[in-house]
Amino acid sequence: MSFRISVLLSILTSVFCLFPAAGCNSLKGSKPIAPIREYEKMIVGNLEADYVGTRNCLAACHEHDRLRQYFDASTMGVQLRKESGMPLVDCESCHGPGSLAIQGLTPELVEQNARLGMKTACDFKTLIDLKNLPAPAQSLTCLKCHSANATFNLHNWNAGSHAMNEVSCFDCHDVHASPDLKVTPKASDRLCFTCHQSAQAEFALVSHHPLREGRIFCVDCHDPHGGFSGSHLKMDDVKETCIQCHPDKRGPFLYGHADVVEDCLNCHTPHGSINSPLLSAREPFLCLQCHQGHFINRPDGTPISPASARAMYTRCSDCHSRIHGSDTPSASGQGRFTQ
Amino acid sequence: MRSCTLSARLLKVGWLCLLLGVALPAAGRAEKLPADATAEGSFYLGYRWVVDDDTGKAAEFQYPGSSLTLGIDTLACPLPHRYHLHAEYRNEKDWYMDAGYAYKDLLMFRDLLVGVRHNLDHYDYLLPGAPPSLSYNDRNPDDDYFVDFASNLFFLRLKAPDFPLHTFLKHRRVQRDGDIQQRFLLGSFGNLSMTSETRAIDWVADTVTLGANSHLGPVEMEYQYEYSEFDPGGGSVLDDSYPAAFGRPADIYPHDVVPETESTANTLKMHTSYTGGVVGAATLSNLEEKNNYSGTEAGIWKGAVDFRWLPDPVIGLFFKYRHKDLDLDQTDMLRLIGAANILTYPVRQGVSYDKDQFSLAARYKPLKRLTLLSSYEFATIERKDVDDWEVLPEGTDTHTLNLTAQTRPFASLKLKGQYEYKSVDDPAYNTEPEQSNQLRLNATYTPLPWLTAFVDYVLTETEREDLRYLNALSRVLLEGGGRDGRSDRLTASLSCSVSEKATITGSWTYSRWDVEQDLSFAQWSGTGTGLPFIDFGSPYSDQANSFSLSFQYVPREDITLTSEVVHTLSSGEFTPDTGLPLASFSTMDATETLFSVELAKKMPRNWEVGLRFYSDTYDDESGAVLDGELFVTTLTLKRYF
Repeated sequence: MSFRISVLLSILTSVFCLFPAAGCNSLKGSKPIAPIREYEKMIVGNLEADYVGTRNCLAACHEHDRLRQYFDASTMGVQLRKESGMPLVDCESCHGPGSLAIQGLTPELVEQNARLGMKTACDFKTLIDLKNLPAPAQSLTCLKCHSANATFNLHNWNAGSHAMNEVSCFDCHDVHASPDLKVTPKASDRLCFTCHQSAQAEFALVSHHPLREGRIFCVDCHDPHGGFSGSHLKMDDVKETCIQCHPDKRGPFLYGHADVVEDCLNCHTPHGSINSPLLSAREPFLCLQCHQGHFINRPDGTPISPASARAMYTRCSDCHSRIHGSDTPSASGQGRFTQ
Repeated sequence: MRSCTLSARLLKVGWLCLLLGVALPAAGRAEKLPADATAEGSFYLGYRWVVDDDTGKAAEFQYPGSSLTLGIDTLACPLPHRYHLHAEYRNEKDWYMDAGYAYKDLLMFRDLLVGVRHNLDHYDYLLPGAPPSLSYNDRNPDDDYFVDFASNLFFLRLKAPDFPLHTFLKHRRVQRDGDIQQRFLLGSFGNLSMTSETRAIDWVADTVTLGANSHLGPVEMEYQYEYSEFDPGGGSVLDDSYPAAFGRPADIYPHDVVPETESTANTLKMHTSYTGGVVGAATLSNLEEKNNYSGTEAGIWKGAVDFRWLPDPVIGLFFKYRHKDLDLDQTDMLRLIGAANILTYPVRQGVSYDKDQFSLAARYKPLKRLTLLSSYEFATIERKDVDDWEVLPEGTDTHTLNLTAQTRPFASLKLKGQYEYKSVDDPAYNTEPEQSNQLRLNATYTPLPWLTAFVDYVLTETEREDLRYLNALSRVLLEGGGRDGRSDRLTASLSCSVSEKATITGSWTYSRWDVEQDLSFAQWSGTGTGLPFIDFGSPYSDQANSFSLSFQYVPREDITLTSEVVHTLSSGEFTPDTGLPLASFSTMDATETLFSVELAKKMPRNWEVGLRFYSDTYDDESGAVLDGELFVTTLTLKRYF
C-alpha cells in the first residue's frame, strides 16, 4: 500500500515541478480535446455586430434599470471593474457583441427619454438568445471561462445526471442577482425543491432531518454539480456522506455488520420516514427481513409467554445496542452487537 | 496525545495559510484601490416566546425556553474586498451563520456555522410485567435526552496572481454534546436484564483538508490530503457487572464502546477542458481508517473515470466507471479484559470486497421538444474470504436498465416518463430484490399564467425468491421462501394566483409501502432438529398522507401575510401469524399538524415589524408517550440598510 502511495506522490510531485518549467503563458489557454462546434456557434453571437464595451451597454441603455443594480452587486458586475483585480467579464462576454443592439442610441437620447419618463429600449433581439439556447449551450457560456481556471467543483459535472438531463447552469445560478453567484445553503433548499418536490414532501414526514427547521440543507449531503457516487452525493459514497455528522458510526469495527453498514440506505431513508429514527421499516420487521427471529417456543414445545414475546420482539436494538458495529464480544464470545 | 497531534497539524496548517495569505495579496497589490460600494442588507432584533410544557415529539428540534432572537443579512463590495454575512440566532443552542470574505480573486474565505438542539425520545420499556427469566431496569427513568449539535465548516482558498493555481484549506468540526439514552443487555438467555441509563456524551470530530489545484493546459489537476479524527471524549467505554454465561465467568466487563477513530486520505483528480465535445475526468483516492480502541484498520482504494462525448448536438454519450477496493485488517484473537478475568476469543474476520460499477448512457434529441435517455449499468461486488459468513454470497452482480423520455409538447406542459428495470444475480441480503421494476411519471402544467399544476407518481415493484436465513439452532443456511414489495408515491400540487395580491398553493403527498415476506422464527421441534417456523407471506405496510396549504397575501405594498398548514397522517402495521401477539408491538398510527402565520408591516425609515406564530401538534394514536404540543411566537423589529 505504501508503495502505491509513493508512486502517487512521485507522479504528483513531477507534475507540479514540471508545469512551471513549461511556462505559464503556454498553459493559460483552455485546450479542449475536440470543440463542440454547433454549441460554440450558438454562443458566438451576431457575426455582423461589433463589441461596444460595457459603458455603451449597461451604463447607457440600462442605467435606469433595476438590472443595473443587480448586476453591479454581483460577481460579474464586480468583475466589470479593473479595480476588482478579477478577470474581466463584461456584458458581451455572455450576451455577444452589442453594436447592433444599441444602433441609433446615444446617451443623450437615453437621458432625454428618461426626462420624459420613457424607457429607451435597445434591440436586444440582436443579442444571443440565452434563455432559449439548448442546456449544453447555456452551460458552455459559463464553462468557457470556468474551464481554464481550475474550477474543481465541476469535476464530475459533464457526466453527472444534471448535465445528462439538460439542467444548465442558468437553472440554479442567476448571474445578475447574486453577489458571488453562489447559492446560499438556505436558498439551495427552495431551489432544489423547484424540481424535486417529492423530496420536499419526504421532509414533512414525522421522522426527518431538520431541513424544514432550517438547520440542515440539501447541499450538506448533495453536490448539484455532480460527484463520485450516484444521487450527486457530496462525498464519495452514502456512508461517507452520513458520517460527516454521525462520526461515531464510522468504524472500522472489530465486529462489523457484514457489509450492510457500508450503505446506510439499507436501513435508513435519509429525507424522512414515518419510522424513527429515519428507519425504512419499524423494528422488529426491519431486522426480521434478514435475520431469523428468536425462539417462539420452549424446548418442551409450548409457546413462550406474551411477556417474553414482547421483550424479544419490540425493539431489537434494546439489546443489540451496537448494531452499527462493536469492538467487544457478546457473552457468547461472538459479535452479536449486544455488548 | 492524539489531540496534541491534531493540534500540531492544525497549527502547521494555520501557519502555512497565514504565510500564503500574507504573501499572495502582497504579490497582487498593484495600487491602492478606492472603496466604492456600501453594505446592503437588513438586521433584526426580536423575542421568541416558546410554550413547551408538554411537547413530546412536537419539539424534536426545539431548545426549550423563550429567548431574544436576532439576525443579519448583508453584503458589501468595497472593491477589491467583498463580504457577506447571513446570521440567525434563535437561542443559545440554535443558530446559523454564513460568513464570507474575498479579496480580488486571490483570497476567498467562508465559514458556515450551524447549531441545533435535537431532543431524543426516552424509550420506556412500558411492559406490563416481566417474564421470570428477564428483568427491566431503567436507571434514570426521569431523565430527558437530547444532543446539542454544532458544526463549523471553515474554508480558505488562495490563488496565485495572474494564474489559476489555488491552494485551499478546509476544516470541519462537528460536536455532539448532551445526554443520550443508552439501552443495553446484561446477561444472556435465561438471565436477561434489559437496562437503560443516561450516557453523557461529548463527541468531537475534526476533518482537515489541504489541497492544491491548477490549470495545466490540456488538463487540470488537483491533489488533496485529508485527515479526520473522531474523539468520543470521556465515557467512551461503559463497564457493568455481567453474570456468568456461556463459560464466561461473572465479572465487570466493558460494553457499548464508542471508539476513537482516525483516517487519512489522499486524492488526485484530473480532467480535460469542460468545453470540449469530448470531456474526461478521473479520480484516484486512497483512504486509510483506523479504530484506536480495537486496532482494526481499513484500507480503501477508490477510482473513478467519467467520459462524455457529444458527437452531435442531438446526441450525447456518457460513460462512468467506479471502483472501490476495501481491505479490512483486524486481529484474529481478541482479549476481553474484565476486572478480574482476561478472556481470549477468536474473531470472525470482517467482509472485505472489490466493487466495480460501469455505466453507459445515451441522450438523443430527435425533436427540439423531445429528449430520450437510456442507460445501462453493471455493478459487481466480489467479497473476499466470506467462508465464515454463512449467508453471504461471494459475488453479486447487478444490471440496471433505465429509459427516460421528457417532452415539452407545448410551452405550458412539461412531461417526463421513466422506466427502470433492475436484475440482481445472487443478492446478498433478503431486502435486495432479484428483480425490480420502477415507473415514474411527472408532469407540470401551466394552462394559465396564474395557475400551475404538478404531479409526480412513482410505482416500484420488487420480487425476490430464495430468501436466506441462518437457522439459530443448527447454524444451517436455509434457502427458500419469497418476498414481494410494492411502493407507491404520489405528489400533487396546485398553485394559483387568485389575484395580483394573493397566491394559494395546496399539495398532497401519498406514500405507501407494502411487503409480503416469508419470515423465519426459531423454534424447538420435537425431533430436536430445530427447523424454524416459517410465517408465509407475513404482511408489513407503511402509509403516509401529507396535506399542505399555503397562502400569501399582500393587501398593501407595506403589508405581507403568509400562512401555512401541514397535516401529516402516518400509519403502519406488521401482522405476522406466529400465534403470539407480535402485531401489537409494531403498530404505527400518528398525526402531526404544523401551522404557521406570519405578518410583516413595513414602517417609515426602512423599518419593518414582523410577527410570526408557529405551532406543532403531535398525536400518537398507538401510545401517548410522544404526544405533545409546541407553540412559538416571534416578534421582530427589522431595519433595512
